[in-house]
Amino acid sequence: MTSPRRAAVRLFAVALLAGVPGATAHPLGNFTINHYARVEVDAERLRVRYVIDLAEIPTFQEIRRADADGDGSLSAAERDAYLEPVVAATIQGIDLGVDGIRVALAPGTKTLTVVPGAGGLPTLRVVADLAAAVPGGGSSPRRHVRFVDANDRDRIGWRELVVVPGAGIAIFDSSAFGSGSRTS
Amino acid sequence: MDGRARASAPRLGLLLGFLSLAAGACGDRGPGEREATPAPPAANADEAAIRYLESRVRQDTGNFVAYDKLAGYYLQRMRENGSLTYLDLAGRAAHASLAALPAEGNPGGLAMLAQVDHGARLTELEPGTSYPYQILGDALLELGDYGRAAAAYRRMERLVGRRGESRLNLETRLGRLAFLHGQTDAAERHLSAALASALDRDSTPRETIACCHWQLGELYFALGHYAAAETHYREALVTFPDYFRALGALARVRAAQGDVRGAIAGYERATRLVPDPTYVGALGDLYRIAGRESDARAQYDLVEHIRTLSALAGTVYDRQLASFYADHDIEAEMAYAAAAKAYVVRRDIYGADTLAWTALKAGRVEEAQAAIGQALRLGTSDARLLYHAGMVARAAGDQARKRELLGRALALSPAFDPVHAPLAREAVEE
Repeated sequence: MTSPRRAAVRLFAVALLAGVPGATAHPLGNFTINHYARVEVDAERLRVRYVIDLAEIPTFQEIRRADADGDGSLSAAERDAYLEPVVAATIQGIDLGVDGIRVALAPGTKTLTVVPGAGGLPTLRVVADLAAAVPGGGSSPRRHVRFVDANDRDRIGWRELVVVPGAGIAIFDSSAFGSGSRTS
Repeated sequence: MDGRARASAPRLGLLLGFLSLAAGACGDRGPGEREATPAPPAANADEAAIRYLESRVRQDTGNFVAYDKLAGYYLQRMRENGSLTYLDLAGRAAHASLAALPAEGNPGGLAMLAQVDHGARLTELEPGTSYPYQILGDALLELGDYGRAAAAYRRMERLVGRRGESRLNLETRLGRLAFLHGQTDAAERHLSAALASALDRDSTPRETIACCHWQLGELYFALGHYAAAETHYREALVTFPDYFRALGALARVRAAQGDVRGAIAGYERATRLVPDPTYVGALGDLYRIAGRESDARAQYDLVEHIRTLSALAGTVYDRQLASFYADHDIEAEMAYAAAAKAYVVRRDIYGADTLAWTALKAGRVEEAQAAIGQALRLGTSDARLLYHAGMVARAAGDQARKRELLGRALALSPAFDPVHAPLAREAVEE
């Protein structure tokens, strides 16, 4: 993707698809941890928007962990203190590579929000923007991107991986759950 | 179906969905005799089957056979991962099946809904197949109508072959029935036969084999044979890694062997997969034994949180939560009320046991005596039942009966619970 020409990317992704959609906020149940990754591929960079959606029970457990002063709410400092290691661990759980070379994701913006769930009980949503530089390649315009997400593999939850091509990029042979046009 | 059964039928859907999880109906995936829908691709069989069947019903909403099979797979998923959402999906698939074809022409869809309200009717529609009798027997068994349940299973037995999935389904039920009647040798024979049937077929899902091992493990644990129980729980986990019931059961074995640290690690892993309130409570108990009071409190609070959520979802865990409260001497009146309410519908021996235990904690000793009599009526070899009965006798001032019952409990399974077995021992020696 160092060439300004239209490039093609073959993306190999491993996504654990753990279930079926339903009508509720957490279709696989109130103890799930759900993961969404949107991988945007362009010639220079790989950008990942990573979302962790915790249903009511893991939220209950995590809030206890994050609420350092035990006052029942999460201050800005508590949110930051919670997010920092969570995002770092998430990055560690992602195996991202280009043409067999592992590339390192760096954290960007990250937020933690509390979203009302069943009966108004809280659920947590972590959103982290991650990015990595694409290493230089040879003369071939075809590149192979590997994205394997090993985070929370022992937890039940929905997992979704969407690949979005950047300008001048075509995606083919993708094993991701979905792909689409750039949305943001 | 008589008037009593019919009157209680509308409440059975949620009840029986949970029971297939709790009581261990291994391997049921719907009416296996009917194979009108072509087999899905074999690789990664269950996931592929679900995807395939979902695509079939999307393309053809009138394909009631595909809906039936899908409902069966959803129920299997619920057993595998404990997510009650799959129970909801199974119910939706069953209703879609019925909507696709009127009931009289659609015995498969009716079979799924029979767990809600048509058990006996189904046997009239399909007297020549075993599955309706299986459903009817299961419903009756869990309602505590053991005589009629046994009769349904006898009818089922006449219709199943010597091998295959129906034989497996039959043997697990006969094993359960024998255990409840205190016939532990027969229970072992039937559950071993179920496992042999499961292993005999290449197409048996791994979860089903794991479930058969788990059931045998449960029998051996109840008999105090902890090493044999551990062997089967381990086999279950070899067959189906992360099988949460085997993980929790293995943690219980660790606790019975005095390995508190190992038991904590096991329950931590099991509850990370599925926060079943029984396991969460057991983990809290072990933290407390280990002196980790804050961690124990967190687990007990989580049980409370699950109670809130289950109330929102439909009170599926009522019995477990009532037992939890009684075990921990909290919310005595609430626990008693929940147990009494549940017992109106479901008058099986464990319902009677929960009623007795919660009534005792709520200071209703006479009611506890009556209920524990019902709980013991089949002669079940279960240390926890005997322990509860002994404590009820103690509260009633019957020292001889107390010593006899608690002695039997401890002789049967000396370490049946890390908190309550020592209490039983203390009470015997009073």
